[in-house]
Amino acid sequence: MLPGGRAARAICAACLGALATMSTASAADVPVAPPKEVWTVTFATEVRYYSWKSDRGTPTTQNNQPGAGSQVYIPYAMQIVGKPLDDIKLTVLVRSGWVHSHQTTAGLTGTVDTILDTVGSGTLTYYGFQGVQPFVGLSVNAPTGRSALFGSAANARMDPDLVEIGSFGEGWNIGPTAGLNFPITSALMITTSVGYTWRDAFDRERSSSEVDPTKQTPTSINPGDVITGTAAIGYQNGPWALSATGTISEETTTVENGADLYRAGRRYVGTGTVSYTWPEKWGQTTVTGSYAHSNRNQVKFLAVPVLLTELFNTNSDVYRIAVQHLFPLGDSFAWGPTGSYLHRNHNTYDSTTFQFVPAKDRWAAGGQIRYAAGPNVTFNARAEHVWVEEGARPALPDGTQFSVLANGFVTALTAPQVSSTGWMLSGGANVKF
Amino acid sequence: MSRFLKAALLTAACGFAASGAAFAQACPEGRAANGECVKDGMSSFMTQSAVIYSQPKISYTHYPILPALDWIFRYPNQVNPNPQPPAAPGTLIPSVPVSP
Repeated sequence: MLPGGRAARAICAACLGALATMSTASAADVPVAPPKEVWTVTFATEVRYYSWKSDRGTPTTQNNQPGAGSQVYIPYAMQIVGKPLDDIKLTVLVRSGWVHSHQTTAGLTGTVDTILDTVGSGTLTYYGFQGVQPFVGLSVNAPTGRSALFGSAANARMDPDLVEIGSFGEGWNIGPTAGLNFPITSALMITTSVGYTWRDAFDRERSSSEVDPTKQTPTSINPGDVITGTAAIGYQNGPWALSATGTISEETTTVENGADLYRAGRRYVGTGTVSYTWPEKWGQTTVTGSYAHSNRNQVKFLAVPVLLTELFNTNSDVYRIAVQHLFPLGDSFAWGPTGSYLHRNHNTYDSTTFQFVPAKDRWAAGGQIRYAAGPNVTFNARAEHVWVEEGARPALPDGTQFSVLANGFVTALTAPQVSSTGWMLSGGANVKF
Repeated sequence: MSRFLKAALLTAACGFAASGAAFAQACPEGRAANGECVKDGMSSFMTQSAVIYSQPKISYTHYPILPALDWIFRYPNQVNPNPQPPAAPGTLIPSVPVSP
């Protein structure tokens, strides 16, 4: 949704231009052709800075030293939108980025400076039918980043609840998508789609199931392919805009060094957004709620040659709610507060088993500002403070934990309750031609 | 239809959607089942959302969207989960017996 100031300027400009055309046509009694669609090219980039402190480093079970780290992430993208034919819309986008990631926790120090993977996407939508709009898309991930981080560089992978980039690359991924829009009225639309993601192999410095970053063995990982079905509804009328989306994903087996490792359980995601534009100059409020659940994985028990469905669910449910408000300021500015809360519940394993994942809460509060320097140039800035609380990972009184997969007692990986705080600062620009 | 009535209709249309044109054939985002022009931007946003949600694991680093939209689609700001590692078995302690 556009902030009030920019939306008002854009609408007024369109009305004035169209009214002038109408007046000329009527006076001259000559029919006027509809406005010609033009191609637009948008360049966008941002600079994002993350800084965090914590009771423990990442991972929290490695040592008991206070944790700290920082990350600078610079994404950049180009988008082309236009109509090669009257009833066909084409959208093409390419995006990459660069990251400097640095953990300073004693015993877990590590730094990475690298270009990230490059993603591209192209979508064709056909508008020639009344009441139904078929579309097809193709997304690609090119491995221009780094997937294997040997030595201390592996410590630069930090908690993705505190920094944006938690991993810096993988292999080639190719994802076709096909779907249908059903515009019922001018303001009500239903959309369905299905996507498949082929995921190629890539190298890592250790196994996906290795929890100690200092134990490194070159590993070839062939992640599972994913098929996802999506259904969504959108409604916009007057000051209200509402949307809801549901997805179901199924994944094939992930293979490491030629051996089956695990198969993720079916995942369900639901998200909804409500937006209201207040009268006068009171701005716009947007509330977003989301939920994700995964069924039990198929995992590798040490004594069994095939994958079996785990007895308890390793995956946590995730709940998130976010609120933002934008106040218009003059014709060119919009600003306002942001806030969000995320809860990840503990998994269903007993707290003293090796496979236990504790609950985690993340709060964020901050603000954002947007400035339209002209009809084709916008600037944006955002700042947030983050608080994260992760539950404890206890051990048995003798310092061990029982491993369901190993069917035996193992050296415990424990951590007390861990509190973390962080800052996020972001600034960027969009230029459209 | 008079020039002034056409202008009034266009002004009213602009109040709801910038592309609600008076010309019968000028529906940049197509026509709905009831013949109305689809609101400007609605079809584009629904299509883009469908493509993104249909490719939850297309990339570990970023989705194919402009950076300004990360706060809508991208984990950790949304619930498309960062790929989580599988449960690890751990390192067995040979001296600790397992109860039958």
